[in-house]
Amino acid sequence: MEIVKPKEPDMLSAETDEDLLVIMSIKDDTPASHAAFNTFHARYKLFLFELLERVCSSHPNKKELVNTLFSNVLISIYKYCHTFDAEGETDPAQVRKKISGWLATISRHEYKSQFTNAVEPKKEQLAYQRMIRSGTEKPKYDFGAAMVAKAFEQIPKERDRDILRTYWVFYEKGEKSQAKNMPDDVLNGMAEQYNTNKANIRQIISRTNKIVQEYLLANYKI
Amino acid sequence: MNDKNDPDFEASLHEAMKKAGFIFPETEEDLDSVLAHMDKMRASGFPAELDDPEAILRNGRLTLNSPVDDGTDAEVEENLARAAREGGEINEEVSEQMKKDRKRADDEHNDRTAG
Repeated sequence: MEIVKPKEPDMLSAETDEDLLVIMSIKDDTPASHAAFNTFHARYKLFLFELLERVCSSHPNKKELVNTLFSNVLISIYKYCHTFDAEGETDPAQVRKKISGWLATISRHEYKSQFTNAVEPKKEQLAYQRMIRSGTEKPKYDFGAAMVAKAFEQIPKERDRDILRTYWVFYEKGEKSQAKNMPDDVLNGMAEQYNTNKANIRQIISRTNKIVQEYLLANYKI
Repeated sequence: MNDKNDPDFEASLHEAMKKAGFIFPETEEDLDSVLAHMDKMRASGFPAELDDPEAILRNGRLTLNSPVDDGTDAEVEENLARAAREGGEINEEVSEQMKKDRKRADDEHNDRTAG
């Protein structure tokens, strides 16, 4: 019987991203599938890490949260690699952008699942829900990144900054542009994560939103 | 600029946070903006523990175990006191919820001590 040696990651360095995902999906050939995963990891690890680092920057357990999300997102990629569709795009830079968007979408669902007691995000969220191609409307107010960062710095406690940031990850527009209420299970998940209770979470969200809004209102120039 | 209850304000802040990478990008425009920010501000270093893809596959999905140990019931009291000082801005829903949460905590405490 022929012994198949595991393929080294650099053996696949010439493969396109799409081909890597195809090779990764052939689970019967474990060495090749793993080698493709290794190469994919090498190509996207920095993007994924920096994305997560930024979103989790004020979480008190930042390192553990980033490590957990980083691993789980890549595990999802490995599991659902066969579902990726470049939609006819062949330009490597555009395919790379689509994959980055896919990673960001999976990251968002993974982040949310940390607060909803879900064992893992639903399959359809990982496999089929893609980044919205284009924003539907331009926002009325154009707050720059630096201004938003400064507004968040007005919140004295790091944990409270993180709670507010989590609120905005879950934010959804409801009818007449009003924000939808946060689902109860999310509030419960947050209360568990931050070792407090739902009422306190509501209070912190309300108080810190007020701080951010007041700063932006006072400093926004048209 | 309109008042702070302006729904456009919320939507604008949400957009700005996505484009700055403070929360996850959802549209291609958000992603372009995040990528541009990343080019300007590269992370200081990539952690060694995430640099082993075989270990990631071996370990499978991870669970975040340790909740943040930074919230206490005293904070609820502090929030109540603050709201009272600032003009009693606790709405009925929050107030009612706080009562329920407190009652539940008391019940759980009583169950534990009785057991």
